Amino acid sequence: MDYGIKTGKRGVSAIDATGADILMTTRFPFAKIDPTKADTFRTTTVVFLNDAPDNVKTLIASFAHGYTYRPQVWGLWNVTWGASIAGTPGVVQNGYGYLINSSGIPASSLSYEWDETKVYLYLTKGALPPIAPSSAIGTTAILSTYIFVDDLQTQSY
Amino acid sequence: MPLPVAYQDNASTVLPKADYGIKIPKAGFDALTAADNDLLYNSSWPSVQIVKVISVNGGDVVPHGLGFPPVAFILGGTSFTTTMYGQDVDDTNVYPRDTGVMVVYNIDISTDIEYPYNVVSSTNVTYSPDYGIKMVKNGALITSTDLRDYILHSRCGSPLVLAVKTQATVNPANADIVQYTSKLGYATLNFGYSGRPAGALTTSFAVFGNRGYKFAPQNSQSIPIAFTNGFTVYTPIYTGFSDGRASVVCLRSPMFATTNSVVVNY
Repeated sequence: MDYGIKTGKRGVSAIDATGADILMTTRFPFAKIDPTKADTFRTTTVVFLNDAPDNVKTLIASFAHGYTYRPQVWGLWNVTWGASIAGTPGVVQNGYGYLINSSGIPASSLSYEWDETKVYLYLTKGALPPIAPSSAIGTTAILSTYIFVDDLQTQSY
Repeated sequence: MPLPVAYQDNASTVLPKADYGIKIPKAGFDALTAADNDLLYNSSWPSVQIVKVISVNGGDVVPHGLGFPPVAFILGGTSFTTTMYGQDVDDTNVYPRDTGVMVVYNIDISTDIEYPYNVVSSTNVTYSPDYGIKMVKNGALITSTDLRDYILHSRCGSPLVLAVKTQATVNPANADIVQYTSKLGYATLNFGYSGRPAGALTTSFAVFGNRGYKFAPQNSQSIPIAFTNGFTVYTPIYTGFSDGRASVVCLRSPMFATTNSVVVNY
């Protein structure tokens, strides 16, 4: 691209600057989140007052993301697992994407998916009764979603 | 999750704030004095930019054209490895391990850098259509109302890089640990990578070129692993596995963002 905005770092010509000598360039599109839409940076807190089925991916919440196409989405979890959940009970866990609460079996996991209209939150509550019975009650799952303007169509810059 | 072991952070390498470049304040603020979260745009912000979006299959070799190993995620799948899951990378290629849509970002994971943007996001997001900066993609119209048509639009915020920390700045107290703790005050997106020698196999059984990095997932059953509690992130420099290199990457929310908090009882 031979047009746009490019700023070199101090002492470096913007025309010649490459790599780490570039302060800013419009060669690549910025990942864009539109804050004028209400749910583009949303925090969803799911409080488990009831149990969820064992070993089944269960829809626990959903919301409209405000676009008519499939956007790019990032998700950041903050989860306090219930004291009786199989896997690693009672801990606080932070992480992105598909969050699993144990590297062993059974493990419980939280995940999100989305389509052209909504974002869906899921719990898969691991259990291995009677050896490892499990309850979701007492779990609090907080998901912060970054809903981008940008879509998942092929593009290269 | 509580970190299994408490280590010491890497040496700080915070850059000074640049006193040159482009700043656009929100209406009513002075560009010279406005705090970062009172700006619509600052060319010094380490904004996340999109290099490539591409549908991939496990085993593909995808050139990225950047000359440094970047961050790349597979987004939008239904499994652990396709929901915002990092990919193996080197100076030349990305090596996707699964089928999905992969997004490559212009974040160099090999170079130690730390930015001075620790102010919390502003929720003041009033937008004026006749004020700010915007630049369209090639072939699009500057009058477009589809924000996907824009390279840069000051109505929108971008996530920012807080830090990339590497083996170059490890604390001598734990010389085999690369660790960073955010000063932001709320949880950030934290990732880890383990350096692999040229010729080693990627997760998808391709062959790493120069400066290869294997993604270190959270909660992995095998090495490499990145550990985080949302504020601190660390990954070991695994003797016998890595070639002495490792990196952690910390990303933060945009400088301005409307937060809609909703509580759901299940």
